[in-house]
Amino acid sequence: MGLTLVFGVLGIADFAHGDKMGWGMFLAFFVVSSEGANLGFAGGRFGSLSFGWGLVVGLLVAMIGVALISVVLERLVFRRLRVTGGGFFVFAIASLGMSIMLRAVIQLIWGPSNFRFTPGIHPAIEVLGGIKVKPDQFFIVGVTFLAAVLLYWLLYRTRFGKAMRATADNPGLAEASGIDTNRIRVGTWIIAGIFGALAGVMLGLQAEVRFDAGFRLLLPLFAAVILGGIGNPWGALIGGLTVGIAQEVSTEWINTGLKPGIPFVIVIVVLLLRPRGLFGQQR
Amino acid sequence: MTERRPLLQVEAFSGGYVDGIDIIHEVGIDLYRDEILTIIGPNGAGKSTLLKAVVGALPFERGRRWFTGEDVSGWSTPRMIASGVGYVPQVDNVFTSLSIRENLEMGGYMRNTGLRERIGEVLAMFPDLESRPNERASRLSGGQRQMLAMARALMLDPVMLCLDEPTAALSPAARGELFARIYKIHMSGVGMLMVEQNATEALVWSDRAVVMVDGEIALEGTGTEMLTSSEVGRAFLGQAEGEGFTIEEGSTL
Repeated sequence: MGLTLVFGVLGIADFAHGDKMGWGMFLAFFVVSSEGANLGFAGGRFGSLSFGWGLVVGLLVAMIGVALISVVLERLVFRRLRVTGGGFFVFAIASLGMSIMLRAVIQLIWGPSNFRFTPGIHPAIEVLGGIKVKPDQFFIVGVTFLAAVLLYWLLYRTRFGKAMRATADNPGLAEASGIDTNRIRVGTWIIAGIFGALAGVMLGLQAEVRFDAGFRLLLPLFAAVILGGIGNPWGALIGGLTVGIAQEVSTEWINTGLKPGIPFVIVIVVLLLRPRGLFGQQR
Repeated sequence: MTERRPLLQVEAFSGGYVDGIDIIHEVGIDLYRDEILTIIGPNGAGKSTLLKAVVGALPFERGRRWFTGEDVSGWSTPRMIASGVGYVPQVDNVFTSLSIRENLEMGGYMRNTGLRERIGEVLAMFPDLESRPNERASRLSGGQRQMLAMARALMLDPVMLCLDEPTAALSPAARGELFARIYKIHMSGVGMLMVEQNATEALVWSDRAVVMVDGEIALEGTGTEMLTSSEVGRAFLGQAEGEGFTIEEGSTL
């Protein structure tokens, strides 16, 4: 959702989004890990979930941290490139550079090892038809749905969100209408950073905490955004679910090693048949 | 008796889009609140550039401009808009992915209070828009988009409206309706500065007009003078030698 927001509002294909998710994951890990526990944050569990207040505090720290990283990168890099007339590809390549830098710093601090928010075995429970689901996964689905509702409400019901959509539509006219487009850009980066951190923490909860976990997810993320329609939060949600399910189901017929290629196939098919995605608006 | 003061004064104004390359040269115009002033002239004469200069949208400018008696030289577009100038660009003048109501909300973005009431007032001026406030702007016809663009510009209750070729690419029927609407808005107390290619129709509705050629003011006069001038007729209104535009006696606008 963060990626679709930045793509839709600012027109930037942010290749650093995956690594911002990585930063969110590791900032939360810092809080729930032994270093965080020493600060008095970690401990306890919510019912059958694998985590407690430690991860909630970790999530808040991650959201603030990634939002700050996003704003600093906007000020230091994107704003300067905008002033000098940088176009789509300049922004994309710059974000690729930032992606490498962000990932390298994570590796420098935490190393290449894999971690988990909460060590131990977290058994799945059986639901309909013998399908087994972990309680954490229910939580992740719920949070994702809430995030989509929140983003939709922000974009379509609030004055700031409507100004974001107006800026995405026609920045010159937005400025002529008295909208502070610089403030909108910074706000967009903050919101995208918060959503990126949330996604990173959810990814860490579902899989392992690893320095390149976010980056590995980047291509499926772009596939989800393109499939759903750029700039549409519901599209991002449906696109993400579709790409994820397609990847997992594909292993029934193809070798597991070929699974990462599924998002590419989806992108090619969508661009050929419906270039604006499932829910993208035609202008 | 109070002195009639201009709403807008532009004095010895030069400028353009690139530093050192002027599109308009030493231009001077003034506009009173109780008039419609139309700028006509051939393509590339600098008409739209002059309008952009008035609203502070020209990157490079020299000269002075006053608005409601205040020196506004160097003011940015948002500042001019906030001070009571409405601006409707020639193209891309509505947010196509937003609804009619959302477009109006964005037009009134600077309002701290009374947004809902003002949307109601503005929609009441445009019945075509009032009947479907949730329609996306991209679904509107050319004429309806121009109406929406004007409605958006009226959201801050401006005292002056700058219109850049409002009837471009419209059918004759839609042009007539739009000019009538412009006149009605003007009669509610809004000074109008308008650039028009459909010069003959525009002059019928105008109190005064200026003709721009090569970035300079070549002629100035009332709408009627311009319509009946054979010089203007031949050069800009597409009339043949000896042909003149006549206004029927007793005709009203």
